[in-house]
Amino acid sequence: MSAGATAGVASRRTGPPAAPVRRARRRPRDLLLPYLLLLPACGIVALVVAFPIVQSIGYSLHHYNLREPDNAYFSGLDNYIRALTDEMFWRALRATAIWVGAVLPIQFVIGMAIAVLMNRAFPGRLVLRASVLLPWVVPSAVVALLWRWLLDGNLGVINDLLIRVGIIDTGIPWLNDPSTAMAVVVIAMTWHGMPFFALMLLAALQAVPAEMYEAAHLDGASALQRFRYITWPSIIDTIRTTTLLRIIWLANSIEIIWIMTAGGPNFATTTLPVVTFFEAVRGLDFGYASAVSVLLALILLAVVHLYVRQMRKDD
Amino acid sequence: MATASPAAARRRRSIVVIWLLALPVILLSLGPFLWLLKTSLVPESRIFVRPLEYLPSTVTLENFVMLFERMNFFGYFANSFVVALGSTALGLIISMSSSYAFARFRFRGRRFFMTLFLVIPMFPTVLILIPIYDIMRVTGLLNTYASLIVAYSSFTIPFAVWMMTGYFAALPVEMEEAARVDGCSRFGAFVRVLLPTAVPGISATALYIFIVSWNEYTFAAMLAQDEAVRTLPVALQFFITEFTVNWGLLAAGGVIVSLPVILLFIVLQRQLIAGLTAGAVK
Repeated sequence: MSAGATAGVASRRTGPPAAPVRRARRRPRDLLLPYLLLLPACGIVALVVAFPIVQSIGYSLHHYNLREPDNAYFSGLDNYIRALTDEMFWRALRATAIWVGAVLPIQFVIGMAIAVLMNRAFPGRLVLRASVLLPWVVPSAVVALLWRWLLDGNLGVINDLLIRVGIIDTGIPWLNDPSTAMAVVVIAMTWHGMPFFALMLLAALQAVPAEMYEAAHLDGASALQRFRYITWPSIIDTIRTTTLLRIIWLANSIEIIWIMTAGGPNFATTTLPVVTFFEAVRGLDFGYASAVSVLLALILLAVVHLYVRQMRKDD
Repeated sequence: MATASPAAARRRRSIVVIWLLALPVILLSLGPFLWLLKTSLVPESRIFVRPLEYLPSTVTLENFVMLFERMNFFGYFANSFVVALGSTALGLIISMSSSYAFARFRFRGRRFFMTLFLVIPMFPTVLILIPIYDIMRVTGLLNTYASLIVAYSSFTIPFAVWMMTGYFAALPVEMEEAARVDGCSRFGAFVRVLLPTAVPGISATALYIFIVSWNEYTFAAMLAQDEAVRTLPVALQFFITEFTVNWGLLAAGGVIVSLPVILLFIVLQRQLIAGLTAGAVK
């Protein structure tokens, strides 16, 4: 459950425009009032978001290690050069791309299937809805613990099931093997996030007027045609927004990876936010960590820009 | 009821098909957590039994007892509770007036400010994490509840502003206008007319903030490492590194951390629907 994701949920609900208050324009006190009302939220946000972002950019241009906080000095682009010439940075960028590129489509397909299923009226539907939402509510730290346990090399239930079915002979230490570790964190994250997709798509599906389906049915359209020509065009906007929010959220997420693998083994699951977190928490190198986080923000900004431009072109 | 008409038969068949599809989904959603629950309820010795027991042969609460008696879990629980409650209170109080402004006024820059609150949560957490750590360090707030409550407002406030704007805007303005014609001040109309009708929406927002704050890990791991203020997710992570082999205890920890939010979520589901329908009545 990320705040970034939820903002999307909220924005969908803001549809009806506020009714303008009549006479508001007459008195100067009322002209100022909305700005005064915005002051508390804007003030706090300036303190905990805007100021830190500026500060981060400042740190990134300094040599600044918390082990010797008094020995901080302006170092220009040194931190950026260090990052961009470090093979680790590029590996982490690749890992971030794989992480987002793997979780997103799987979550989408499963979420879509669940949404279509939940959109049907059938006895026991509420049981399905409540169960489907559970993975979303479980705290990330627990999700990480849970999947570590399920995929444990010796005692994990997934190894046990695979052995029973005969797919493998002995337990696989999924998390300790660099070639499978990424798949494991992807599975955990997919499980955690699929209800979000399901909910958003369900909301979109329910907004499609039933008469359209009835009309198409009378005209003899097949189920596939109904999906292609009625459902898809109606939900495509939701899909685009949800996907964009997910990309941002996934690219920024730390907790699952950090608690499951701490970026290992052999840096196989070290994404860019994990690099930053690692440098900040373990290395206390605030200057370098800030530079990497600024680079991450810039890369994301570029992705969002390209994405939105593509969306406009498609319309 | 059960006639042999072809339509009824077809309907029954389609229900069976839907349930055949729904069952794997339910299993996928609940299964992993149920396995954790099962692990937490069996004695440590039974975890190593081969072949794996899919249904527990003995059930015990010893893991939970140990968790609370020996691990200071009550302390972490209380910390999480204070932080989540504080974040909820701060988030709601600070956001309410902005939501009112967005819902009830047309003013220059309205779109800009609304977009601002929408975009803020999209910035990487790591980008603001380090400076916030430094702010807390310099002001001496590191390892206090306040540091987390303030840090969490970076995502609770934008969310609360958006959500409550939606609820407020959906409520008819006429009642407030009537109250003001009757001599009520603007503030009076807000407190006595709008707030009471918006209670379902506000409580949905509150529950949501509570859950998100309860679950938060990244800020908590950075700002409140001290044992005295450590919240449950961070405590759980410490546990994982300390007791790697004691899975019964870890599982019990995971269940305890999740239980409050799962219970709250059941409430939230109802509240959300109530909030939405309240807005729809015109």
